[in-house]
Amino acid sequence: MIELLAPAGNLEKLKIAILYGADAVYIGGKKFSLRARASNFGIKEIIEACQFAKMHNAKVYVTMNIVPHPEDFDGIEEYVRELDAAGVSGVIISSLAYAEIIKRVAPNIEVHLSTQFSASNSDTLKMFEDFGFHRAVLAREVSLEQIEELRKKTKIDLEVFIHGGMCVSYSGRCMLSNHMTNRDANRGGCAHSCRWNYSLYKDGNLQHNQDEYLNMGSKDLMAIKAITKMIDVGVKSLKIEGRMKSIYYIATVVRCYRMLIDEYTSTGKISDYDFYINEILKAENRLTATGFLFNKVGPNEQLYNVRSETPTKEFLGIVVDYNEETKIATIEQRNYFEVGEVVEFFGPHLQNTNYKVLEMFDQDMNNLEVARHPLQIIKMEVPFKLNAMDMIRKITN
Amino acid sequence: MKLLVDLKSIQNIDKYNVDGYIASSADYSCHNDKCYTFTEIKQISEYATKNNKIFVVNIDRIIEEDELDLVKEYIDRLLELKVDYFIYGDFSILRYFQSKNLSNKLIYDPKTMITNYYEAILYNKFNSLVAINNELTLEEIKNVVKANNTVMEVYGFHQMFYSRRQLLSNYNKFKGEDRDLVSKKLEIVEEKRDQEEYPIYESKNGTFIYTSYIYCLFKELSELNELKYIRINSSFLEEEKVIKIVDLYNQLLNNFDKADELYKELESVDNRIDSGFLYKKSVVLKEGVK
Repeated sequence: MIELLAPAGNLEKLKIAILYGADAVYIGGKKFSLRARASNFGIKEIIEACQFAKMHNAKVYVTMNIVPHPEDFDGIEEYVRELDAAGVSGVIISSLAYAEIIKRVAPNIEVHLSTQFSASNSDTLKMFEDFGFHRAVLAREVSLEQIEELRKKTKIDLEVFIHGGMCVSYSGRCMLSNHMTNRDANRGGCAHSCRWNYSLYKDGNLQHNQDEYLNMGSKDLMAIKAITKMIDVGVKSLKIEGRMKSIYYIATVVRCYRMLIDEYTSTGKISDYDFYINEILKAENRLTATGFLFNKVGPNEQLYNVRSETPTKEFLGIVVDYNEETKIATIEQRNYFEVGEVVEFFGPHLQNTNYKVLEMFDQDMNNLEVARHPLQIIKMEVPFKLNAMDMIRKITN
Repeated sequence: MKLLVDLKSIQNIDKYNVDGYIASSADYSCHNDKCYTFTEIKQISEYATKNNKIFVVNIDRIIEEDELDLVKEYIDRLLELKVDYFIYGDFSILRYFQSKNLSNKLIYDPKTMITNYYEAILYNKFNSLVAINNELTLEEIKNVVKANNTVMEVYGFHQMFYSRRQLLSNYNKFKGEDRDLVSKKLEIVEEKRDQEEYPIYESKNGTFIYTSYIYCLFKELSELNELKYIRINSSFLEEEKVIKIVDLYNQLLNNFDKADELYKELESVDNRIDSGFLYKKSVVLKEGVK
């Protein structure tokens, strides 16, 4: 069975990812991870994460994917023992030295090769099989056709990125951030220098108009149309990128790929790709392309004249409770909406369902015309059954 | 400690006062200056053998699945010549050399990965030398060299970005223009760093960006005796300068007491030199972008 692997930047995101259909999540601890500084996962939280995952038959992998400097070995053995005791299923690494330590200290933890290593061919994968790695995250530069070849020629589990941000360089082979800002991307400090504005000169002469820039950033990856092939060829794990993304994004993207995988594995076909693409677009605020999966990358896969993403305001609220007798839903507001508006409810077990907001109340049951305050508790009657963690969003074209 | 240089030309090979030459393959390396055909490599190999010099071939590119057979064929041909070392950046090369019991001919140079002693010493298991990451402090380098199997680029514009994408051609296509940007050394300047020109180069192998300065580790070499080889990367430097630089390094290796004097001469050859991260520790904080 193929694994849908989702990112989780904190416990709330982890729970959302699992409830919305992820078979496994990857998290960064406070140490040894490329997202260490942004992580909320101390050992206590990792234990809770593993317990929650186990209850839902899911797995937790921990990223230890920095390229370590000498001081990055301090406390590593103890940390790995703690991960093992917590019930972590695997760790994702790019350092062979880390691999040696992990295999010695916690032989039951799976060792996964990070995409930072840019594994692109079967002989490289065989090397890591021989080293005792269980899984390799392939370079994002590998095509769908090449993935098929790699699957045929190797035994190691293959993990492939299917959605989210892409380095424009080979992962791990970019030191722009370090040289420009003194922030080491290979230890979690990436300043996204590849997305900045550059002027291009040849022999001292500007190669474009004065008011234009050379941009090098990559569009995000969206692999909706490659999933069936990945399932067919035997990819082990489909990975979504984005530990910094919102719970709404995680819920929407995970649920979409979950539905797609389930449709294909149960019927052998996908009846309407547009449905899935439109689902993703409800949360995706960055331009997407298919990266290297189908073709060599051209201008269509690059970001030009786009400096940053626009925040979406589709996410209106999250259900915190539903009373089946009174049919009153308690909702935590996330974006402005008002009485009379038709909104869409969705959830792990709830199909997209439109509903016109007829009236709503605050926590003290005072009438409200608009829900305008972030995190405000709203109550409203909803005629169909909801569950905690279901979400409401705007209906967009 | 022996001195290697990326050879700028065959015709002036006798002018380089070095222990050995590096020749890069146009097809299988990330090198973007002078690369050599098989015939030229054969010629250099013969010269090196005759003159008792070390000869290194650079095939440090990431290899794709459909290229594996081709690169192996290429290596087989090279192995018929006298080549002392091969610089590689992809583990498929290591696997192939292991299958031939020849991994003692390898130098692993992925640019970024060799950042600590433990990482470096692991490659002793494979009999492979390793090239140290150039973003380390001097203290960190001292830690890594203890592995006794290390090589380091000590001079040159350092490659700090390697993309599989044809970024300049893509930009051309996006603009609908037909500018001649490929296989040429160009510069990019970031909008808030107008004093820093970063060399950029697109080849059939991808797009590469280099430091705005010439990385220079010179006087500190006296503290790094365990280094097996040091490399002068001659990319984008004039050959005349490279020959002088090589000579100054050679003099240094013969007499560290003259380091200060020689360094002054080195500065006068090209004043764009910089100590990079030798005395500047990288940070990993997310705060304070730009």
